[in-house]
Amino acid sequence: MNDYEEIEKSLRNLPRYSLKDHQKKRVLQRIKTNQMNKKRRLFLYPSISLVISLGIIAVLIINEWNTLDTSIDQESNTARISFTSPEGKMFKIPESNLTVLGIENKVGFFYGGLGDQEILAREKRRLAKIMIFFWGSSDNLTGQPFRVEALHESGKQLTLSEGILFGPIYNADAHAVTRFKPFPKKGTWELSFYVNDKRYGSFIANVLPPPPQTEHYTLRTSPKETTVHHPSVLYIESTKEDHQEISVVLKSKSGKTVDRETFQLVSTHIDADTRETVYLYKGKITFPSIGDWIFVIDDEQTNLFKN
Amino acid sequence: MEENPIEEWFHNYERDVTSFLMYYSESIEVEDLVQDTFLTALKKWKTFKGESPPKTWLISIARNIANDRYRRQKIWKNILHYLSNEQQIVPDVENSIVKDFEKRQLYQAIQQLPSKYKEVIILRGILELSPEETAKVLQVKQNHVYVLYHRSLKKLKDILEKEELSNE
Repeated sequence: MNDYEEIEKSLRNLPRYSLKDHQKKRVLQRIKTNQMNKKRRLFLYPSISLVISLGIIAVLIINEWNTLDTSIDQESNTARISFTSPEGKMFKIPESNLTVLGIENKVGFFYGGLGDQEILAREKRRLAKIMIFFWGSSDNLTGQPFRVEALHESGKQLTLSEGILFGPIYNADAHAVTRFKPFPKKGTWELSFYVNDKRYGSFIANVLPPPPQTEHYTLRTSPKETTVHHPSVLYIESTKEDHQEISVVLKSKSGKTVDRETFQLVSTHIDADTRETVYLYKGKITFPSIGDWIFVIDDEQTNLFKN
Repeated sequence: MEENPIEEWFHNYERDVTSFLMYYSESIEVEDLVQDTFLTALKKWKTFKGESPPKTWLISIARNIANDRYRRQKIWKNILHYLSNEQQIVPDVENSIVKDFEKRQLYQAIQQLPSKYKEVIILRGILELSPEETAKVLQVKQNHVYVLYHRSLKKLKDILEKEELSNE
């Protein structure tokens, strides 16, 4: 290799490199996510998002009517309660970064943990840390016993929480830190907040179907909270032994694979009730459209669900 | 909103960018560097004027990122580290080639070059960019590329000859 031409020839013969397929996929995924975030930032002008949320609420209400209609047909013997309480709204508490569900200047509660917006049936994590806020007169509220009752449209009733009210916080006049029992059913629930056995305020909350689950895995994100065409972040909880990653396959009703992703372990904690170790995995799934789907998580299959 | 071309560029030029970074950075984090290259391109593509082909633009981003990373971390992995990690990154077919003795010697010699020589060797010699394209990546005049490349080859030859002597 002593003359330049020969060196140049050897240089040309050195190998070229490419990332492996799974690496390419990973990088592409991140590019896509970044594009999405960019678009979303542009998108989130308050007025636009208000219009969109109103649109979504309208769709939800229409859906609700539809399901109500059909379920009344099916269960004509079951009396459906028509609630008179107002629909609960999401609003921000000034000087905090908390968004609560309720009625402004009356009563509301903060829930969630992973930035979740919806309440899911039979799901307890989002309701494990609840902060209830009351507005009114601090003197009449602080130190008083409170109770939260839930009434389902089918007539089913349960007490979500009980306790004693603490003093003012942020601009609220009383508050309590507590947890709610999970809602056993999806659908429309009326939440009534009692102070000293007197109804202080009430509003309507919509509860989404329970998240899909397998023997060991439960989705922490409802498929109804995802978007179509773009990757949506999903959290999956597991009680199975420690894996660094799990495979998640999205299949259509007919069993055709539409997306296949690897979810990474992001945290581990102990369930306060069962004392079991719980593993939390995070990943992204792209739903191609609205429809009926099945997840196969680490070879375990969920039931058919809707997004 | 205007559709950006980054995904398409990723499909077309990922190999060029990865190859450049494999030789230039010696880093085991090539995937990270490739990713940063394309994410930077995503951020800045509107300022890309199309005067140079996307390939040279992307490689110059990759070069800046690798330089930044090097300055920050001062990690200059040696060839042994590189070889012990190649299984993860190097495609299987090429795996055997890089273990070829002469090529490994050449590779080692390239890594001994000062970085201004090293980059011109990678761009002109290995990636076979034209002098014009190389000038765009390095942001120098085209004439300077000829000079630089010639000096780099000379230096490379010196190193190889020294190696041969010490092996004898």
